[in-house]
Amino acid sequence: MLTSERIKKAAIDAGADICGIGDLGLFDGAPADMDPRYIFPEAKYIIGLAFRIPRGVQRGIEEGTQFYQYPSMAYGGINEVFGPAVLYKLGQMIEDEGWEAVTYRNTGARGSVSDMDGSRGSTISPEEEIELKNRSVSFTRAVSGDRRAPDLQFSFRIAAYICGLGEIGWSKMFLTPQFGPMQRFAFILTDAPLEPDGIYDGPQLCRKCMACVRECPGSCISAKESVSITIGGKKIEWGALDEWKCFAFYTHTGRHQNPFVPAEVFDENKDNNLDLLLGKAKANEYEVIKVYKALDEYFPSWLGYNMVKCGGCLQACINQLEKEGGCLDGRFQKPLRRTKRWTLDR
Amino acid sequence: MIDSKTIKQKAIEYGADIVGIGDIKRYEGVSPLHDPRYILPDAECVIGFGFRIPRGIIRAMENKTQSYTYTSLGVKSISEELSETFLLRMAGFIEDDGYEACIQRSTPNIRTRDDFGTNPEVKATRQLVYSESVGPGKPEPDVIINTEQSAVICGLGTYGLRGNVLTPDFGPFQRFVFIITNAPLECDAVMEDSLCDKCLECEEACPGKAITTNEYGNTEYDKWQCSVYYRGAHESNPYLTEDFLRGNPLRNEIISGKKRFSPEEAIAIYDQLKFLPETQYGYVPCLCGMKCDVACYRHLYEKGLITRKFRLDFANERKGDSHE
Repeated sequence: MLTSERIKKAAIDAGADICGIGDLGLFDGAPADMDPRYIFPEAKYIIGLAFRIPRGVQRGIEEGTQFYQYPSMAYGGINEVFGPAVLYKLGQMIEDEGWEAVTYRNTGARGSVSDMDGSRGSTISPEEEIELKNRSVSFTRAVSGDRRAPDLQFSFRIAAYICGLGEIGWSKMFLTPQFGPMQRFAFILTDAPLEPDGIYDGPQLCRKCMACVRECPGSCISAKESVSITIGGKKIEWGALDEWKCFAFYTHTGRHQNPFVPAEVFDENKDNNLDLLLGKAKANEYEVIKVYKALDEYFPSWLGYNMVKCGGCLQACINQLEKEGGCLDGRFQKPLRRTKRWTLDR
Repeated sequence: MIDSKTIKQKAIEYGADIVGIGDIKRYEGVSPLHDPRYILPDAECVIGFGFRIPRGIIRAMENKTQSYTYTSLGVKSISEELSETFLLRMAGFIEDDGYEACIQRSTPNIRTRDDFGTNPEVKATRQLVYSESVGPGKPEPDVIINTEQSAVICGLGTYGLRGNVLTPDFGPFQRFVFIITNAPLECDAVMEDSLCDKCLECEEACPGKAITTNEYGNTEYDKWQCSVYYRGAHESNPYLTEDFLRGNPLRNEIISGKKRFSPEEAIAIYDQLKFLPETQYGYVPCLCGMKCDVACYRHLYEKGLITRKFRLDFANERKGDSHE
């Protein structure tokens, strides 16, 4: 008989680091275009798998000496290779018992609703390398009145919360007791009758220390404005994030944090392409595309992923959690941050 | 608590074929651009992992009836799938013990500032010529450890003539990945006896003459030259037709492997060398048949220096491999 316990053991054996099971009823109130029950209406539960990001892949960015490993392994490696392999294996086990398993990997910029601002079809997202001249989904419509337009993408953070894996921090990054902000997710929707975990009710993981706000090179996270929603009667809140601005700084980080782009390129600011990074333009899709096109030649992508060079909020969060205590204290023999964070003096 | 033995056991369990551990001090004198201590300053050692390229894949290529399998399974799948999953799991195992695991996967499409070569296996590489140090005493990113040097430092094998690494288990046919860690592990000795006896068979086998030894016995391996013939510019490429470079006065010089290509000339001819589709991620098909490594493997196998034995011999190259 398929039980929650068996599923969790199989998930860990297959390579996931954490597994939690959530009641899909907790998606009540979610925007219909982001409700996974439209993907599999008979599904009752969602199985959440977390894959740790080894802290060591952050080391090169922390030292300022190596940037390739983090995006290629912690994004490309987990999303494209490791996660799907584990999903497949767990899906096999569930379907061997006669239940259906809708495996749901990180889909990147392929949803009917923008990752950035919720607008229709505007689906570019910072992680995945895309053709910057076109939206990846420019037209879509529901195939019948009781369905939603494809492809339906749901919020991984909300799903992870519903699976009881942790909580959303002020930075909007998801924090787990095991790994703080260092993990990525994949999910399975199933009609199997399972025992859900319930939402996370352990000690508060995010202390709202605002280190993420202070260390974001683009000042993309508000210290005061927030977004809040209610799930299962519990209010959750995170800082308002300028998603478009984050999109630009995530990969290209600006004058003082990008060692691959000469200072002269920022000085020249040819055709005002870098206005967004220089604080001269409001962030939007048009300005983001200008930045990406202008700086593409300085660091090639691999595995179809933009090569993140930022690590601002992530490393700030790890640093604080290790220093001030909380979920990461004592996990490593030495902290991630051992010297003052570097910045290019130019 | 982890130690060298548990690390090696776990690595084999997770899919590596060979494992070795190298003392970080062996990088003394290496350029900062390739020194792992600039990635993890308190590193104690580098753990090297080798993944075999199955001999059957080489045989299929050598039989000249299957080209895609080597590039897809022997190159792309190992570098982009098998070893990535492996590294992520291995890093988790090490970090569960409180030590840091800095994964070092291959970096197929970037070159450090001092590396003017290329990677024949992919459609394009970029040298990070504009990168700038982020602070005093730090090298310009990205620091990339040298794969071959690291494999030797980890005691996994010895250098071949063209600078590749030969191991007792698989000769030239494996791919390597590494983890830099501050875990204090017992290190393996560097292999003292070279497997390469400088027979020069690899040099003779290369259709593009990318490996050359001068009168003083110094060997050079020209990666740009290799990149042209790896893509199949030679008459031994079964996909090459009479239309290839028709009208080009250098055609015979090129397809006979006599033409020397500068980096610019190599890049310029790539578009005419698309005999088969690329694989996912931009790995170009290998149409030289890895003749250098095949010759090397055959030589080592016949001398009894390869420890992994097969029931079948690795037959000599068949006659008449020119298709023109």
